[in-house]
Amino acid sequence: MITITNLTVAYDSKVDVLKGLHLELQKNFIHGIVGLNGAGKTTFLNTLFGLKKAKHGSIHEDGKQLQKKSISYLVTENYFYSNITGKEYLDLFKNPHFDIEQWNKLFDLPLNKIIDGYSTGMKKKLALLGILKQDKSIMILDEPFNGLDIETCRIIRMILLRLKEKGKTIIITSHIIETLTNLCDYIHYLKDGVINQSVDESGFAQFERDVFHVIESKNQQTIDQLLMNNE
Amino acid sequence: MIREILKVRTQQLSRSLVGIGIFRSLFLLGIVATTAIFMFAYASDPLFAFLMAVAIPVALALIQIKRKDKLFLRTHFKNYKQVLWIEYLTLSIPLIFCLLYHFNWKPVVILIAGVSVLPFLNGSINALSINTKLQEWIPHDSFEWKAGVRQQFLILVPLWVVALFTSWFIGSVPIAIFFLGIICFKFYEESEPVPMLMLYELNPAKLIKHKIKKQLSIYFIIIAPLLICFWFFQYEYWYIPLGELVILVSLQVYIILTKYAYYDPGQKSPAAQTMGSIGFLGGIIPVFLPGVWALSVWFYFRAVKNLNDYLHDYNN
Repeated sequence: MITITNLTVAYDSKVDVLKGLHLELQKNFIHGIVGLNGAGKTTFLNTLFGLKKAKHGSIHEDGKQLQKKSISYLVTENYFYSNITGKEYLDLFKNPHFDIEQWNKLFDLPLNKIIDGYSTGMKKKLALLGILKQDKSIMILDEPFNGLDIETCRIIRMILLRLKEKGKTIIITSHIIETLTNLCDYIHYLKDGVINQSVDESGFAQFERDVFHVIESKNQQTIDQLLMNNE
Repeated sequence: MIREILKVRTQQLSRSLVGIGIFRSLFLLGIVATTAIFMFAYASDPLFAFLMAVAIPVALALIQIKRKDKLFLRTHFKNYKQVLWIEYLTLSIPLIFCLLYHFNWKPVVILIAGVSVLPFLNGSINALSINTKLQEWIPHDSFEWKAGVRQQFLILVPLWVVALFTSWFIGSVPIAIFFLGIICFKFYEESEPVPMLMLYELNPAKLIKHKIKKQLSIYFIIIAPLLICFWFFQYEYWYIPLGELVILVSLQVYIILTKYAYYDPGQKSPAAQTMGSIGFLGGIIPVFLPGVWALSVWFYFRAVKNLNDYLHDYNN
């Protein structure tokens, strides 16, 4: 179990983005974190990975402080070292069982080309291959489907489900609820710096309806008014 | 329009200076002023004037090839070549002024002609991104070298080959060793992303030692054939490259420590670049070398502290 207790994280020590967040993540499951833009999803993941320091609170795995070495992290904007090839990047990670050529049959990347010339989607695929090669027990994926085509999205979904079966814990964010409901075992709704709601598979449909209802009822009147003004 | 572009460039420059802080800005301005005084003093020497008239367009050509705003300029400005020409000419004005002051007309013509060709160079960084057998010989985890050799291939290899085949001249090998050492400086400008920092699974102190060991090993492997040739042909001057190596080893250790002292994942730290240029002074003017050693000690502790944020898991 990964236990997050009273997590408070601020930007520039002024504005609290996460405000005493509590969350328990069961291991060997896929957890989705959903929230509006600016809700603090990336800050939460950065803090989990240890890139961002918490003002208060703790993150434990089975009672011990969560270790960065057991986590692989896919960031939203993938950054790679300049002037190295895709293959050179993947070669950096030690895993003798990982056959780069075979895995690349799924993604079809030009691994002998310099990464600087890759498209956004290609960089995302390469970063995912890197994560897969690292083979850590916890995988944090921030918006992994952004910029990818339908086929790759489906392939990644298949890979993630298989990794869960092999005992990995996967924490994933997305702006799109449907992406998460099709993949995750649990969804946690991040709002106003805390986890507003956590649901398991049985509650996904109701959760989706509730979220959409709140958004629509909040904005319908404004949209109608604006469109009327345009006429 | 040209005036607007120059105004934007001036604003970018002032923003960069504000970004690196007053102390470092003053230091940089000091270096620029010293270089200007040096240039002015030597501009009367015909050989120096000629060398500078060739070296400046070559340096600007490297900038032209590597700059990333060419596509932006081409798509936004009809006369983008004129914009580029004005920019390069503006950068060359101090030298043109020095040369004109000493009535050195011919180098001025060479310089302006060279600068005028630059806007027509449309190569990109990919054109210089060469995959060679050399990359395969470099260890997997020395990504700085893989990237650096690829980027500087057209300078490194000819320099090494020329030095080897002219090693019976007393100056050839020491000059090559010096430049090979200085070129490695650029390999450490960029901070790697966190996963690449963590892949060694070492704590900060061990990681720094590992990086220094790797850097010096590869550097020595590269220069070993040159040193052997030098000692074979110039055995009575055996001490020259040794003295040089003391300086270059100090600088290479210094640049690695500087990079990690200011490590910021995936960024090129302006502070590290400025401190790197201070170290570079130690290479040219050995009087500054004790300063480089003192800074190295300070940066070592700073680097360990800085990297501890990312690598504390490996402390046990």
